[in-house]
Amino acid sequence: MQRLKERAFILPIVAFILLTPPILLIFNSVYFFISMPILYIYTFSVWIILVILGAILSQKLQNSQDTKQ
Amino acid sequence: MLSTNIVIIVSLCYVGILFAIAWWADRCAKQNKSMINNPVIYTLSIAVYCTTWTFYGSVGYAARSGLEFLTIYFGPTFIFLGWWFLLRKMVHITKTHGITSIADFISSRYGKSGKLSVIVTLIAVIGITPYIALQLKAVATSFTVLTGFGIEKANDLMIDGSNTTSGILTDTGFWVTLLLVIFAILFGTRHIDTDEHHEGVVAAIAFESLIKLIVILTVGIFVVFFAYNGFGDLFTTAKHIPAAVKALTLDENVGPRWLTLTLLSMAAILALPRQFQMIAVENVNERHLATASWLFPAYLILMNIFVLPIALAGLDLLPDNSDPDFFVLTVPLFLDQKFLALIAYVGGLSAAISMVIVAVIALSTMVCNDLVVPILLRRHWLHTREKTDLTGMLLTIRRFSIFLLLFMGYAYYRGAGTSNALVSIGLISFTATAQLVPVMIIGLFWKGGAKHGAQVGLILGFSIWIYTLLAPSFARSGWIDTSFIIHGPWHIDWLKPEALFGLYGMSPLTHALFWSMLFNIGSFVIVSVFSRQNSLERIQAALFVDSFRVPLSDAPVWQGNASIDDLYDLVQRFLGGKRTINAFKIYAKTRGEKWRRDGAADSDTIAFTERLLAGTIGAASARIVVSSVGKGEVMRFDEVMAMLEETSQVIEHSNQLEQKSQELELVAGELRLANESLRELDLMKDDFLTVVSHEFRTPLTSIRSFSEILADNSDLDAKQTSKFLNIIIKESERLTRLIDEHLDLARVEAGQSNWRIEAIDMTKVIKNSIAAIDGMLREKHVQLSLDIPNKPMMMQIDNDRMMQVFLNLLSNAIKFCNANDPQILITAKIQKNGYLFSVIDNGQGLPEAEFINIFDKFARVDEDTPNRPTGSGLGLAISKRVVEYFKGKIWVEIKPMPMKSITAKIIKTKIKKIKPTNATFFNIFLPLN
Repeated sequence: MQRLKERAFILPIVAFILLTPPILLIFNSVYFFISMPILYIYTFSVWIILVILGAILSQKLQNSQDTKQ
Repeated sequence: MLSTNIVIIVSLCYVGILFAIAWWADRCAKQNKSMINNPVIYTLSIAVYCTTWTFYGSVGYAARSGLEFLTIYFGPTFIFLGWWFLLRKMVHITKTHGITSIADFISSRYGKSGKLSVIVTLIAVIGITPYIALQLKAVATSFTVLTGFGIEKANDLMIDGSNTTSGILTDTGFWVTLLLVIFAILFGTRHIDTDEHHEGVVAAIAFESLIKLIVILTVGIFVVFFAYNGFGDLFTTAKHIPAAVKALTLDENVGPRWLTLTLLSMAAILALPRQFQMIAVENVNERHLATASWLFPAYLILMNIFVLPIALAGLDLLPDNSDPDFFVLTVPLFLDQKFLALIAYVGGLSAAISMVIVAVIALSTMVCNDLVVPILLRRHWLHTREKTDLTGMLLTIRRFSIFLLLFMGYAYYRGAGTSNALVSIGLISFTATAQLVPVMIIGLFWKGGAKHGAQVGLILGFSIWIYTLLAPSFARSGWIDTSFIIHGPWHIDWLKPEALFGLYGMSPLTHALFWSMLFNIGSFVIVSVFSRQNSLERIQAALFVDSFRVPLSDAPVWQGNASIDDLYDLVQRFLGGKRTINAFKIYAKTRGEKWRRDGAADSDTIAFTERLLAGTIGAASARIVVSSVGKGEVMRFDEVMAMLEETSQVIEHSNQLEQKSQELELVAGELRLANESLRELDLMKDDFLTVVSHEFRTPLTSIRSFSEILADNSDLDAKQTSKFLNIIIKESERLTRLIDEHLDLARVEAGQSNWRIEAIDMTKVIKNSIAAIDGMLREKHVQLSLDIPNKPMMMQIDNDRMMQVFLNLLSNAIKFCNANDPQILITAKIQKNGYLFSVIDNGQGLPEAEFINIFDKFARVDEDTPNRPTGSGLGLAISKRVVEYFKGKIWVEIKPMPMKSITAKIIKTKIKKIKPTNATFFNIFLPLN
């Protein structure tokens, strides 16, 4: 439970860092990747991955809370 | 263009569907079948966050500044990903304390302060009005765009914004406003309830969220995959258009603005009254939050994935001076997809209706509970001691508030609607509601946050918002003179609203957020640190901060002397008769009592009454009302804390006890097992010691006694000496053998023995064994017969060990066979899955009771048996271990001697007919491996 809580605490922080300048500006490029702007691909793929991680984590948190009760 | 009539009919039909859904969900709720008790519907209802600002404004924003619009959705994503720490606590507190709005939440935290709830309500109402105006503007403009596309006048409108020149009755915005007033009143204020749940509204909002998502995805897919050949084509085209190419990357100096917008959107998802309403107040089950924590961000991703593509398509296709805020409509129209445009319009309408409905319901609750009722109470206009029914009055106040709020929004839209893009209006609202966040969040984790600190913080922060953001926006709308922006009021340079205290170089928004937050948080913390909290404040702070630890929701805070009858009358006036009697009956049931409407109310009942009322009129008002009946006073902080501590300690204690007893039981079980095996070991050890000492003692005694004889009698003759010495040698050998065998057994038992397994013919093993023991056989004149198959019996086996087994059995048989007529028979039979060997002797047999024991270590048949074995007593034990190692079985049985005897070639003894006497069989079964 403690480990899960720690992960739940870190996830939004990681999300914030990845989706805010200056990290974000690294991908602020005029170049294209698979014929799409790199920034567009970066923001949406990071966003999607974060949501998937959030889904896994929230499931685990809920489960461990249920077993605790 | 589309005909005005069609658009109006479609709009009305859509609103009709919403009415139907809301009505149906309300009916289900009445029959106790909750429609909205579902995490997906909960998530969709939270998606009321996506207003026309998202639906139309994001595309416009993307056309102007590229992906910067995503900040508005990243903030909520971060908050929801961190749900465990903030949202969960917020929802839990809201539900356990029956909180009705964000004003109620903040005032409850700070000692149910009436002043604080008034401040929060005013901030919310003033802050949200522009936001409501924004929705009205969006709907009105979208209507005009849809019906007027291609007409000269409408093109102008698309450039300018909306049509403020038209009269009120011909203004679409007016009719939209009226429609919304009706809808909000019908479903938001149907009745007064003990908890502010609006099942119908939530169901309708969830439906609308689904509609707007489907619509934007439809438009997006059409634009990307039908108007263009997928993302690649669209982006590559955009690369060559000067207007579009700047939307593909971000401005180099986007940093501060990006951060500002992210923080604002994080604040908005927490503190916008409509978000608080949907996330916390309308929450049916706290567990739904776990699903929403990822499903809502997923919704936001889907909602935004086509925004930039639509913006780029608009920049590519439409004339340069088109308003990008309505690309969602104008792009399909330009491509002559009228039906798609109509669908898109419905999506926008959907976004607008949902936002406005929820916002005005939330705000009207606040206006009623936190503004109007407290004033009426303080002026003693409600006459709380009389028995008139007040439910109708409460509903009227709320309905009137809804009407007022919407027309305030309409007024703002008429007055200021032209000047700003959708997004900048929205951001003004966001910054206002952000002022509520510090007192809310810090108050959840810091007990020291005090009422006076919160009041000062909110007032200062909000004042700075008005001065630095709202006033300039009014000035730009032409309502006030703009000179104070440029030169500062009275030409005082450092008071310029967009460069306060000489702070230049920030965008107005960042500037406003920075100063308002600095003053807000700073004064809140400093005043809190220097002020003294009263008893109720400290109690409430403890209840909020430790909400997951303290089990009691309604701490008995009052020590009054009200009668139950008085309290009942009071509640009845605000809730109506039926709901009141139900609530009181349920309360009595949970306390295990029978409901009686007389006697004095104890502090628990007073607390219950207050909470019941708080669910209807808010915590601050409820406190005033209850105190007007029960002449009592707030208990001292330490008393309440002591009570709470006691309860939580008792609960914790019993939890701990339960856990401890479970642990103890587990340990006891383990101990029992360990004890049993220990006892077994102890028994074995005892047996072993007795046997070993006995067995070892016999040879030792004889060695010692003969040595003593030799030592004492030096005159013994040589013959006798040598005889004694021989005995000593023989006994020493026996002792050595005993020890060797014992070690051998120990090795076999411990599994440390080295097994050399190879394919061996069992016939050979048997014959070798017989040869090895030949001397003994001759000595005792034993008649040995063999009955074994002619063909080889191959097995994977350890030759030496197997020989050891047969030698043991043979020597055993020699010892036990009939001394007068010693006969031994060895048989071997091939069976289906193995071999059965028997070593049979014609001895007197052994009692059945010994059949099993005989294979134990040092087992000896009856101590008094005259011809008891002289061996170590370990032979059979070793044999058993060896046979078992090869997955075989060894056992004894008594049966008549088989009649058939066969000449053994090795031993040339004459065959005699054996009389059918009983014989002892030592059988070994070895499975084929």
